[in-house]
Amino acid sequence: MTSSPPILDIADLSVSFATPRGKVRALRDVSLSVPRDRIVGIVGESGCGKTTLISSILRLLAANAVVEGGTIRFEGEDVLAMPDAALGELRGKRAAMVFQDPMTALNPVVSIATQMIDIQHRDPAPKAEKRARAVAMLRRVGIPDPGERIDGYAHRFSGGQRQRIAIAMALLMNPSLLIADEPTTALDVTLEAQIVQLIRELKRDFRGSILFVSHNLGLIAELCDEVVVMYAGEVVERGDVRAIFHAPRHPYTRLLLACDPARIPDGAGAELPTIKGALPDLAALPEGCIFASRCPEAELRCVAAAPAMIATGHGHVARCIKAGHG
Amino acid sequence: MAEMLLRLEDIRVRFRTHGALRARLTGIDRPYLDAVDGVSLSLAAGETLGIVGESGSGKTTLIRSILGLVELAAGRIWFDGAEIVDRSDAALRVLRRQVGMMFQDPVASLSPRKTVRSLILEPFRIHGLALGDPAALMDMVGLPRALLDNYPHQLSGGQARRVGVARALALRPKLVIADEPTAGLDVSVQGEILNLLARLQAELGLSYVIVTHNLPVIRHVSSRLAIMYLGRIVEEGPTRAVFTAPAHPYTRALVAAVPRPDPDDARSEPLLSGEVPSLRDRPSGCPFNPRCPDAQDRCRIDVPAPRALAETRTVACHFPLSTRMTPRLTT
Repeated sequence: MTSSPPILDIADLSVSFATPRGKVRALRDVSLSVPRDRIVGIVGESGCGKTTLISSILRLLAANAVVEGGTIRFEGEDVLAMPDAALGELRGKRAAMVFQDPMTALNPVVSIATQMIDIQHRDPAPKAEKRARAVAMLRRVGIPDPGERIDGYAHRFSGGQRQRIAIAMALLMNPSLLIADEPTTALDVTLEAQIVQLIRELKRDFRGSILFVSHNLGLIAELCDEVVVMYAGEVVERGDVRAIFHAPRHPYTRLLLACDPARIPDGAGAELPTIKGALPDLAALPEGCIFASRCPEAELRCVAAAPAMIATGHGHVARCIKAGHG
Repeated sequence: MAEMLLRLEDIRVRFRTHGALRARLTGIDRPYLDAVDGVSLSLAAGETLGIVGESGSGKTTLIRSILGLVELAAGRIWFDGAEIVDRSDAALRVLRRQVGMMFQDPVASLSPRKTVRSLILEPFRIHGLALGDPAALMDMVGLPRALLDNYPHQLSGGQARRVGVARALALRPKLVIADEPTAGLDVSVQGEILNLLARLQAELGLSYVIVTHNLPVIRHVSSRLAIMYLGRIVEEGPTRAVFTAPAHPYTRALVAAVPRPDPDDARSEPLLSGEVPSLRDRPSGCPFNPRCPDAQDRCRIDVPAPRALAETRTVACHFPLSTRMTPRLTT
């Protein structure tokens, strides 16, 4: 697995936004890679930089964003230096995206068939063939009677079916990377389980890589091979899914896991764990460790200087001065 | 029954789908759908009742009907020892003084043009009462007093939720109804809101009805649990018993569908196929039968009535599961 180059390789990426309040440093020194055939999960709470990171990968950043440094390589090519023509190829064909809200991802006034044929516009194949391909893909994602229903409009489908259609559209061009941004957040739990099952099957069939963004630790544990934990614009920990869940090295990861109500044993009545304090202001960053002000294990040296990434073996790294011990 | 703070009997809420004339002309004999279809529930003082169900199960409509925010088609409601017979606006206003409501999506439910001070004093104004002390209310819900002159868009999600708690509790109600109190919050903040609700319950002797689709959360906060499906309660009982030994196949599927935060604990139970059907074409017989892995002929014909399983548990299923099996939610 380590022999072939990764699909996506991000190194030391820093992105900031120019705002009236000053420079908001939304991403700082973010490094991660998505190997071929693997599902990598990004987990973090609101404001951790997940959305900025995804936008950077597809070069969809807002006009006031500045890439301060670092590289993004997609199958070896420098995304930050790509000309517009290559970017068009990257978005949708080589890297496809499934969004959080299936209700707004589809165009309500255009039939599903038209949308699914249009998305193949780079392919010179005849329209009938594109339609047949779309029908086959809808069948694959579990839409009943796809041959007839493909001519319907988005409002004729339920939320779960719309997310299936969005996934079908993302996979039509056979991308090497699928980016899924909270794809089940808008769905009920029984539908969420079905979509997760579908993503897993599709990954097996299509042999692509998936970058799966979620705040749901249960989904990350269930679906992902590797996990990247983000906090306030930094990667604080990264490693194999088992290492992250069974032997987390960063205090933030440990607290985040402790807060998940699905992990709290039946001790009804006891106080639920929380993470005290609030996110730091990204326009006025603290000197030392980004998590120090909320960290129950913080020491004087934590606020003095920002910690480096420390490797703890088997590709597991954590940005904490204590990560190497115990 | 005498000790119950809130008692609902055979509540029905019906929404019209076609006008009366059009229904007659086009020969539709049921020009309505039953969003809540015969729900009976009760809540003892000091208790927390969780109502769980997926989108379209009727849980929000049910709680809105208690406060008269949607009209009842049938059913009886008792609150604090007296039946609410008079459902005129004036009578409902008195009821709403004693029952606080926390709405879904706290940011959207707060007027963007009002300050926090004005928002938390609004209940007093609506009911024509002497204004309470805004600083004391802020202290009660753990908000810094400096936020009194802020507007909703200047609040974080957790702070907006606390303003919602202050508004619900401003008039010192006996009962608080909370619709998805932690939806959209990060896990680290979710715990804070739930701890706040628990502390206020202990301090003020409150009772709660909490509506949610989040099973891991409701497991930790409710003492009793009612599971809704297509406008009916399919199972009801003590929270722990319902979680550890579900009697209804739908409850079992719900509990099994919750992802487990452990990479080595794979799902073993079969997934539920299909989706919740539309209320417009409610299946005949048991509403769950088209998705139920255990459905038999009788389930497609007879509607199962709720029946007692134990002293404090009911299930609406012809073939309830053995309550000795123990699926897991936590590890």
